[in-house]
Amino acid sequence: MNALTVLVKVRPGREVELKDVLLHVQADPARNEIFHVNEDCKTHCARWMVIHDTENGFRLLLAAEFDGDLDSYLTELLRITPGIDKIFSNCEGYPGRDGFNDFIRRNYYETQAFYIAFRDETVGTIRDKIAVRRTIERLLDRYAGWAVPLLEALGRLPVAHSFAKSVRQGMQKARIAFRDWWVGILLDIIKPITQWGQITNYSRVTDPADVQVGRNLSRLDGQMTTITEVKPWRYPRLRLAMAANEFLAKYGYDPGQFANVGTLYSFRWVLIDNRKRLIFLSVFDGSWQNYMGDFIDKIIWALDGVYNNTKNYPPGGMKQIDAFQAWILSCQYQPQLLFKSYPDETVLNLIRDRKINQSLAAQLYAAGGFDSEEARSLLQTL
Amino acid sequence: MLASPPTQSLAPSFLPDVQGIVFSGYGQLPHARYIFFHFTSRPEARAWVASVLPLVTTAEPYPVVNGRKQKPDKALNLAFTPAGLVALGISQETMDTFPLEFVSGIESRSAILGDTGISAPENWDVGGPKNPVIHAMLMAFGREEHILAAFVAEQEKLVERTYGGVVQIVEESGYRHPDQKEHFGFHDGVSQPDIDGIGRVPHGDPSCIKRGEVVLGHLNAYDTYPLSPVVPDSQDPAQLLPRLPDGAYPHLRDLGRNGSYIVYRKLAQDVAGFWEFFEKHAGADSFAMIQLAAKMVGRWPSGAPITLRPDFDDLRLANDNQFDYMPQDPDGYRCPIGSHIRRANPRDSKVNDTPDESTQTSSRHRLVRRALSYGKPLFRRDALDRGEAPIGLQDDGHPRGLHFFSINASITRHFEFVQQTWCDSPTFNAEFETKDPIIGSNDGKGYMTIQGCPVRTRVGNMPRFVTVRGGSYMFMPGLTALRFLSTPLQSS
Repeated sequence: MNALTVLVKVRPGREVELKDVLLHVQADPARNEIFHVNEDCKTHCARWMVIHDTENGFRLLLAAEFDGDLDSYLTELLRITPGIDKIFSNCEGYPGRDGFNDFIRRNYYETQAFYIAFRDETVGTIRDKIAVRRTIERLLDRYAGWAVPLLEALGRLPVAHSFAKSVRQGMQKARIAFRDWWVGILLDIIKPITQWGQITNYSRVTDPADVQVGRNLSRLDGQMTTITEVKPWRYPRLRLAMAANEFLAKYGYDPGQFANVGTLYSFRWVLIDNRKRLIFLSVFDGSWQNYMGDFIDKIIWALDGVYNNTKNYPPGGMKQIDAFQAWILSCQYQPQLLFKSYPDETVLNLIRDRKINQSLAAQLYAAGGFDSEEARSLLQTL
Repeated sequence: MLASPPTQSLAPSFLPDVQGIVFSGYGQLPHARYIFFHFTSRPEARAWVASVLPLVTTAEPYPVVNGRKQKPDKALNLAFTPAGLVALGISQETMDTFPLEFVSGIESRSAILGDTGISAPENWDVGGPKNPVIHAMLMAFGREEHILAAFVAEQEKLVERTYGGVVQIVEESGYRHPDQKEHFGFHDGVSQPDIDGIGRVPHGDPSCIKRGEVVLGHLNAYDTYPLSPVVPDSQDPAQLLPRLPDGAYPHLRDLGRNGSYIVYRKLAQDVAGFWEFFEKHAGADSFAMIQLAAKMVGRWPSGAPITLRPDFDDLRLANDNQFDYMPQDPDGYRCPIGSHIRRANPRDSKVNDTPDESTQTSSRHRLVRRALSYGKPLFRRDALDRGEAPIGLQDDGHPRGLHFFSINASITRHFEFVQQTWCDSPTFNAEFETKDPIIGSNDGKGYMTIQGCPVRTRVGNMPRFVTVRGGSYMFMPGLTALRFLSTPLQSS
């Protein structure tokens, strides 16, 4: 999976028109004439939104997580967006359809830290796994009459214990135990560093005015896009915090299980405007409230570490829960157009889908034949 | 277990400032009226609040005479909607310090709550766009029906004295049947959170929830004070309201102190449809019908948790709430993962959490629930406890259901979270295409998965057994705040 982050200036006075075009697409993704969103088979998640700050005025932010290389992605984007001119003609410097790829590359920003739940999956493989699980569910519904006796019969077969299998399982356990050990040690080191400078004697009373923040946001669930201002001279510390996040995200946890949260598809940070501002883009399961709960209970170290390098962050960090929520809402933007490839599936669903598919594939290709114990435990996960 | 008021000697000093319904389900008062009002005159409305104020029941411990608690034979509580607070003269400055979900109202939260289709606010009897705007709700309770009737008559006289300044919109009746069951036939209200220092719960007990989870002005689960509505000093010339805790923001006064948010839901129950469904899926076999229904609820009709008694109902466990899922039922073979009680309070069983993490998360989303039935029972529910299901049950066309109230310090973190993230989510705890089988916004297309060995079974085409017929988000002020709201405004 790769990431695309593009920021382009909106032509003066054209921000409302641009928003209207995007909202028009969002209103009918399947049948609008501008952007055939439903034909997209490379994008995991894409969001288009108009952002604003006093220094830069209105800008269009396009952020997407996609499969393959950038050129082929942009070619595909052009193919399914016959009305691309209607969108980008509202932006400064847009040369037209023929110069689209170069235009995007000129306004492209690198991602500094990137967590992906399933690095080895594409939109296609995820959709395939969902389809396999749905088929198994339907088969079990329809043919429960023979499936139950069959599985009971399988249960009576002797369990195939091979030496190789035992060794494999033992090594897997040892690998996980070793990984948990070094992650634990690393976190013990990282946590006090990331929260260094934060105060503990903060006020337990939140500013009553904070309750008003975010009242303009109507759709908070499922994705978060924030733009914060980096404090002067904090770039090295910020970079270190982001690197720690990325390292742990890559090597510290099983796929889909960053910090054992189990609700994060992806998150990433992108520095813009000469390291002055920081964009955070995440895709998550369920409600914003649930997301906040996960933040505070499980990954307080990760976010405190990054955000205490940004302006107006609560002095006590995320532990000042209401102040933190007000702060993050004050930095949050709502996309005019949001597209997710598999919106009805949670990360935990996908973890289970992967397990089912991998186990089935292993069974089919196993030289030693059908493993009744594994088959039973597999189906019992449904 | 319903929380009972504490004994006098151990009672925290703030209790006389909290309305009684917050900490007590008034178990001795099984008859209720919920009367909804609209204000047309600010001075008259304030005068009405002043006249009701002395009658409001507080959470103050009951007096003890000769070793016996003297429980009252009637009780009264009062709550206001945002529109009601504005009608009483609360300034926009103060309204801006109430949370968005409260100010925008329950009707605007339909998508989050699953109040769609026949449950949409357009179809409601109470609240919603087609009915008069609710400003206040009076909750009156009585030991006997005639005591309650006389009490309500007194209230009507107080309303008459406002000469139309306070108009009654609708009156709803509720009752607790002696069998303690709701209309489907299940013992209701068993699981309530224990609150720090309230009732028999000692102060500092780690298994209970913090007071600030329920009432404003007290520390919550995050060791901070919940966001509380405030009034500028200048708008409280008599200095009735307390200052914010810890001397914070000294130019403001705390309107929320000892108050709570209260969510009202009128929930119609399709009793005949409920049992017809189980008859269809389990055959006309009483035990199989009851067992399947119990799998969906998570408790047997007596209230006994199926986690503790998976094979048969056990009246001895009717009020048992001291259990967790993970020690004996991690996979949902006893109590399905998607069952009603395992969604509403997953306890230690949230997938992907350790039991301790799950218990902590669950404790941050507990609801103080108060519910009474309306409408006559459709069948003899005590027969369920003898293993007799109502086979061939026919609807009689009369409305019946539950007046449900959720009392919390945060509507989003408590009521809305449980409804949206746990009960109505098709993917709760890594499930697929399932919603709460009892209160979910099922549309006839979803499933209920019943985990089992060797393989799960799924019950398809789940219909909606519970329809929302009314609702409102209200604020139930503390007694001091009520006094503030009852004081004549200088401008009026």
